[in-house]
Amino acid sequence: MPVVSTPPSCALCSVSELLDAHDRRADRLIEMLHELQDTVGYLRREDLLAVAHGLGLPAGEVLGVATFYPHFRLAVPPCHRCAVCVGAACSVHGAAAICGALATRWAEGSQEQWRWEVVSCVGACGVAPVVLYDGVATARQTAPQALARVGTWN
Amino acid sequence: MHFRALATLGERYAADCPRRCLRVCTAGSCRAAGAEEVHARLQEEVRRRGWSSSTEVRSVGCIGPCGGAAVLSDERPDRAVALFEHVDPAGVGSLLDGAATGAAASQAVDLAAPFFTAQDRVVMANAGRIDPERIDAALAAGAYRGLAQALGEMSPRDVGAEIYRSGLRGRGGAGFPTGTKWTAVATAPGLVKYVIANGDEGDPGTFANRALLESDPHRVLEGLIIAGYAVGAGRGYLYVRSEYALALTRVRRAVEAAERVGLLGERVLGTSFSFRVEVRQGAGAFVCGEETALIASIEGRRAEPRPRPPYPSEHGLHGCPTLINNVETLANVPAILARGAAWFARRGSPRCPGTKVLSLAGHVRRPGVVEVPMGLSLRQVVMTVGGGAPAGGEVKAAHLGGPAGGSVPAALFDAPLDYDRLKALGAGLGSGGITVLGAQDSMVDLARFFAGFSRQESCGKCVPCRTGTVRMEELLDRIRARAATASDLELLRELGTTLRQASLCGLGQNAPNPVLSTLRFFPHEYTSLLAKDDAPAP
Repeated sequence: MPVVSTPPSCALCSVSELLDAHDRRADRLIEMLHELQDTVGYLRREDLLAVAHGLGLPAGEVLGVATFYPHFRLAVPPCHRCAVCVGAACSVHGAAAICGALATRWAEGSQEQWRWEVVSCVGACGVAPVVLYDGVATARQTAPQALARVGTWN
Repeated sequence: MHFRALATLGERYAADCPRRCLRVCTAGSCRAAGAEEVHARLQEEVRRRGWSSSTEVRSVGCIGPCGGAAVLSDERPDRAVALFEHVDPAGVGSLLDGAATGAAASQAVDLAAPFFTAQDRVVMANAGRIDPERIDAALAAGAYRGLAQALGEMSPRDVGAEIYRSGLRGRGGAGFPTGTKWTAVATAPGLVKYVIANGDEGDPGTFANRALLESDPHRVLEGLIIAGYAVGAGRGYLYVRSEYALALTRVRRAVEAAERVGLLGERVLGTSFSFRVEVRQGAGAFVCGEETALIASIEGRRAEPRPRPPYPSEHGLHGCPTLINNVETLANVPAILARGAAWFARRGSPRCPGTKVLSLAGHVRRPGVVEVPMGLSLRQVVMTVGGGAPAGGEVKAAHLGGPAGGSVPAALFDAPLDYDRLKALGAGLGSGGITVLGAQDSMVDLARFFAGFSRQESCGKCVPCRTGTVRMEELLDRIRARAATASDLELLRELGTTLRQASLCGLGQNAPNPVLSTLRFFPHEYTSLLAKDDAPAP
């Protein structure tokens, strides 16, 4: 699927507003990256370069920050995301079985519609195992429940 | 605004509260179990029944028994408080009917159970009671009285001395005396100073800080402002990990509300003290819990730690003296100021005064968030408060403190909640996470889980941690594949010692802890997995 990307000039003008909203403070770089990702869905290369330019930082430094933190994505995210919490409590309660089931289903299905991934503890350990469907944490999940849910995404 | 005027906000709120209050926990585990929908359906039901003038449906933070999510409490003047668990949106109407007739007994939680009676709530006093998104609700429950006391009656030095006298120790895991840290920053030379609240709780299986931030953000904020006053800082940062979206929302609302009423900004409460707070969001890097990495992150850089000394108390954020405290440490401060160091020091043990918020998870009958006095034994925490293993199970061990902590076997559950005593057992409290392991759980798998976590979260700056965590994981995988020899176990121990001695920061230094502690207390689980021809002679 081709990615429709905004021309760099337009990216620059929105980035410029973003920079102004943060007083062009380099210490607020991570906050700016959060806002960019929340708006666009991921961090576009042209936006990162524009941020670097606007803050007077080497491009490598901004890219270095963007790639250091696992929260930031540098590619277009899939339509749907199924994230299995693999914290200690969820692991004790069988997160691995859910991961295994999802991996098998994903390998045999239409792979553009959804992805599955693992996330660090989301702090809902009282109702482990927890799966996040498109970011919404859901309690006491089983492999069949997870498969049924991603089945609606195909 | 002066405090008196502010207090009337709380009084007005309290006067307007209807007599009956239905509280729904919309935080943490309950949120994952559909609590927001429960809250919406309850409001609908109350409206439909024409109860609106006498009954309030309130969204609150953590009530405690997260394993029973979603949890609902029903408080009314004419009868005892009732607590219901496993509340689902569809069953709200019948639950309300059942609560009146007693038919809802199957969902009722026994409030006389040790889970509730063994608790002593200081930090979590308002958790599960107040609406965390309303400052007037917090004020009605006594928020900012400690700050008013500090700013109105005490010099910054007096405030520091009071914290020192209380004996409070850092709740982030290390247990460093808070008063000593505050004095170091207060006396460090420099005109510009900073205070930082560390809410980057990332230990897998731990949700104590999350519960606090989502339930009573004003208490943390009040502690941060008092800390700023005591050490002479004009700016504070509240750092919360990005995975805790609700905590971030509630903390941001708290800061905005505090700015509106003059608790932040120029001339706080009409005094000459000015203080501003910025909320900062993490981005998924566990290493940010380490203080120098946290500082780098707030400066907008890669969160790579640097060698200490110099400590942040002399050379911290932007090179200025900086105080960094865990959010729970700061949340203890308001009560110490409002009620006195002596009041605080009466609870807990002499070397570790006060309470600790714990999150119980894993194979335990009653998972959830509890606040108990320091010094309580692990047996009381796991077997009595947590109720032991679920029916038919057996508790084998408790893992404390996440990837930097260790596992304590059930035979040693007499150990008290005490930083020094637990350290001697090779475990630590971390930010309060306890994962209970049952007879069926493999300790080698647990060690492998944490080794994999540390490998993934290693920032890569120093070699021992970057390569050591990879090798540790490989060795554990070889053991689990029954391909390891006795010399591999020796190598694992040696590797652990090297990591501990040579790593740059706490992440690498403590990464071998789960491995070394399980090797120490559960050696047979390792030896039974060794390749057949290499097993020790029977």
